[in-house]
Amino acid sequence: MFKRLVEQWREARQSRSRLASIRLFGALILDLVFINRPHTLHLNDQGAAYWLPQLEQRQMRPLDPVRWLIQIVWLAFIYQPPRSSVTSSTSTTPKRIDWLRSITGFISRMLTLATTPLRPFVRSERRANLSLLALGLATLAFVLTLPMDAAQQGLLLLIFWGIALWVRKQAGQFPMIVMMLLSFFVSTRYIYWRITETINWSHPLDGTLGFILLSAEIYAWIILLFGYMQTVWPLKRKIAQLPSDLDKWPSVDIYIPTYNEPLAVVKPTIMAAQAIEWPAEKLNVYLLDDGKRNDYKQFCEQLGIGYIVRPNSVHAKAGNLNHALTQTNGEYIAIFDCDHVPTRGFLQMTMGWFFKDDKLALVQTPHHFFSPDPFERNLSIFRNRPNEGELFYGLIQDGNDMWNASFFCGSCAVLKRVPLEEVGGIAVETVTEDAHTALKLHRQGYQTAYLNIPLAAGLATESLADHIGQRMRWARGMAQIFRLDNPLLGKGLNWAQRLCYSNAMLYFLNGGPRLIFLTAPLAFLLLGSYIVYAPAVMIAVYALPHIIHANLTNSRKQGKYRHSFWAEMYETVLAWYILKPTTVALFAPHKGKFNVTSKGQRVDKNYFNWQISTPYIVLVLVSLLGFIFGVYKFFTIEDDQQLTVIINMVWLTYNLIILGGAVAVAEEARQQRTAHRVAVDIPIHIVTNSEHSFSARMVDFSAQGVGLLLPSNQLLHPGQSIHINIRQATSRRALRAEVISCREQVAGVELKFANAEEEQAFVMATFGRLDAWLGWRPHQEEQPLASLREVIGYGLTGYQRIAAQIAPYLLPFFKHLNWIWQRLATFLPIYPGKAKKS
Amino acid sequence: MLRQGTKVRSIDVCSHNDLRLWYGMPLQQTGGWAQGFMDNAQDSLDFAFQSDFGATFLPLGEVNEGYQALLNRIESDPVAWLEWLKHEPEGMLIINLPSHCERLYKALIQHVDLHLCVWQAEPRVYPRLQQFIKRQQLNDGVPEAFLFIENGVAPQLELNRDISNIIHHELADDVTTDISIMRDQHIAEALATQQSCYEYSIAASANADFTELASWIMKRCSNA
Repeated sequence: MFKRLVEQWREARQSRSRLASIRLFGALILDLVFINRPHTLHLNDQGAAYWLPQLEQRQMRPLDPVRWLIQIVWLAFIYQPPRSSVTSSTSTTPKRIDWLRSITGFISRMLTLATTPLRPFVRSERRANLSLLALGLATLAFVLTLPMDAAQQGLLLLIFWGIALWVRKQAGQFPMIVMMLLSFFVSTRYIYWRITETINWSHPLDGTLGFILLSAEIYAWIILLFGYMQTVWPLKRKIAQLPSDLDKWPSVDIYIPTYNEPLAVVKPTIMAAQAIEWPAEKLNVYLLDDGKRNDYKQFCEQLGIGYIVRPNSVHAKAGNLNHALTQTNGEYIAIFDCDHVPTRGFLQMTMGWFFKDDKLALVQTPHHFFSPDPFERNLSIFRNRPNEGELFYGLIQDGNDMWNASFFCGSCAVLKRVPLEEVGGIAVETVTEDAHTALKLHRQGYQTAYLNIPLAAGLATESLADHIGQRMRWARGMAQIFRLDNPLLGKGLNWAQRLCYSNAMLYFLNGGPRLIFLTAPLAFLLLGSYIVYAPAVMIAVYALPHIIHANLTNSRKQGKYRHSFWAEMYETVLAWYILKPTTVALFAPHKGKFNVTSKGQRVDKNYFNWQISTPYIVLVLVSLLGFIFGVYKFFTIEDDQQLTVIINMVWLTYNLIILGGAVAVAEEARQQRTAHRVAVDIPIHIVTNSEHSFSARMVDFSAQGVGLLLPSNQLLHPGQSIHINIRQATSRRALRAEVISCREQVAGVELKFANAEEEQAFVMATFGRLDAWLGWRPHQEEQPLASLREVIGYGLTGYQRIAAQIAPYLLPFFKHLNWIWQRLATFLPIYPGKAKKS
Repeated sequence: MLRQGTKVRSIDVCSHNDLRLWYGMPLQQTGGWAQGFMDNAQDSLDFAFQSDFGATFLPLGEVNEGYQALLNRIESDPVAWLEWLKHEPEGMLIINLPSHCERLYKALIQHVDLHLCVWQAEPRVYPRLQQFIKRQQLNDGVPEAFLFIENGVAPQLELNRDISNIIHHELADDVTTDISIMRDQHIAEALATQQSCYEYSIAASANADFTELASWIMKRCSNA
């Protein structure tokens, strides 16, 4: 090894300066220390820049040694190398029941073992087990509540932190559980300490404000623990095979409810639903038109699908679906929102599970969106970062599935008719009829399943106002269910199902707590109120570990589906708006109506949505006032209070960053196309009128046109008529098109469908492809520091956007602030192998 | 295949003697391997033509009355004929069989890695295909080496598309290839200028089709 190192050093010195060689050699040592791969030992620029991406800078900058030092310390103590993916089972049998049985069996065996010596002294084994359980809980309670001074607490938490950082690097599910347990322990100790030692009841204002903050923290703690339990072991269900005998395949009715959406939005869904691969005599597609529109009726007649209208419009979507249930008789019902285009294999992928489990009433698949939601569009992060819904559809639903608590999400799902009718059809008591229907099915003892494969795709909400409106409905509906059919009460659910449902419902009550967290530091900075009545050092040794452990655990658990610090931004945007509907629903659960989410809209130009952002701008202004007070206080307060000021100002700064991000989203980016373009890479042939054929690649498509990458420049010209030959399943189709634009090798063409059959062929060759939505997003490993850097960047962007609107003369200030941040950010560690973005 | 680094020798057995046009062989050059084989010549390579792009091609040559006798001789001892052609063990030997001569199919099918039956979607193909299947008793089982491949695919033409769909519907999946050659005017124009399609127009889709077909054949034959 030493000999090789010497050789490497000589090699480096032959071609590099002494300084450059030292840098490269240092990187080589890092390589050996951190990844221990002497077999690949080789000194080169690439290897050095892998560990110290700062080396990619062509010239040394002032303070570069400080950057390297920070990077090395971070690599040594915090960096977590990417975990190799754990090979998942290819079995189609869900391990849910087996796993639960093995856990309960293990506990039972342990209890039996532990109580064996006591048996001669106790009359009942059950009583002995209960006694042992009580003893265990008492021990846990003792440890959780053990009083410690700052030094002891600090030492304990350092040990825990060390364990968490070590365990975090281990692959598999059990290390994840250890991290959750550590986080549970630390957070519970923190909450106990907060309840017992930090409320100053002798001062009414401090006591009241402190109690409000404590309530928000207890809420967050409950959500944290419920969330751990809910996602402790995601099931990751596989596809189940259908019987080879087609006669055994059941009949399926496909419902596509619509109300006011344009036909252009609904058309692809109908066409794709009709082309789903299932025995034709057993597949019936119905458009449920609550808008009662003639052109829709004609379109359905033209395609030969069912068209159902009802005499009234009571209970909105739920009523529409229930009316259709009385008009059709398929054994199973597949439901697609009118913009959710299914792939041709939807039923073959989902129906198999119904043959494996007689009690199965629902198979839900993810809601996948091929258009950007307001966050993705307004922050330009479409397909670069996990979107807001990915946490739910990527992790939480898989976690629910383990506990037989997968929710119905209103679309992209198959329901069995008999159980659905048994619970009275789709629930109409609340505005989230889907989740409530699933709850009713579970109460009747039915099973539900979640298949985490995108088999349909639709349009995301198209403006921030629509997005907030949709989430307000969800929040109101979940609060309604919590009041009207509380999962913690009533019969039929097991404890895990109660917990999963409760967490889903309680989560939507986060508006109040989020606003409390956003304003809490102001209580001290503006009012001088001690809402956490404890020395700053005690706050540090209790609160910081609670925050760090929760973030470390969530980063590992959720990182692939939601990057760190983004949850705060999502919740902050919604907090103000969901507070009222959830509060009203808790006290008056029958109030509120179903609002339809708009689809197929355009945003003609960029604009700043003042109406939406006003509450946050007010919060920003108040926070800035608090910041000024904080600076003043720092210089005027007693020395022993300065740490308290600093803690509050750090908290306030973080809040300002998050609020800045929330404001940044309020600037709506222009969206001229009503038909969204989906980026793809599909080989096609272009045929000119002279019958010359060229190979090309389709680089994007929408319902009305495609983008082409041509093999050479000037192959086509605007206005030219061509045919595009595209593969549809096992055959090829030619579609007439007209070239609209050409720019070097890229051409945009508009499709000229001769008839509905051609249009359907195109839909099936694009939206309806079986693999259309697989590998849609690169699921990157979570990088918390990179996320923090991003969120800070978006926070500053928000302030720049406000400044551009109301005080353009302030823009240079924010630009300078951004510049300073960019420079400061160069001191943050960079993930190995990642080139720094300047 | 040549471009992908495989040694290839092509032999034309069709009496039309057309394949030579694709190799840029002068029309005045009328000789070919048939006469040499009938005359028991030692080496078939003596009758080979080297194309501009480096391919080795053995034209049939003008045989006229002797054609039936030639076929009889090949049919009676196909192995001897293949031996005489003497292709390199690691190379590919491609034989263009005449479409009207099913007897050669029977004689050679046991001795080849792959027999591609090329068809094009036009009105005559359906009855001819039925006739072929009946005569060769393919309904009773198809040799593993035998596959149908579609040429001149033109889904933009309704008749072509309909016939193509009917034929694909009739043929079992295990006797058809996923590969097909699109109808492309570049091919005819390349022939008219006696160039390969690559040389004539690098952007032609036929090039991609042929590349895909070549890769597929090499993979299939290496597995055989």
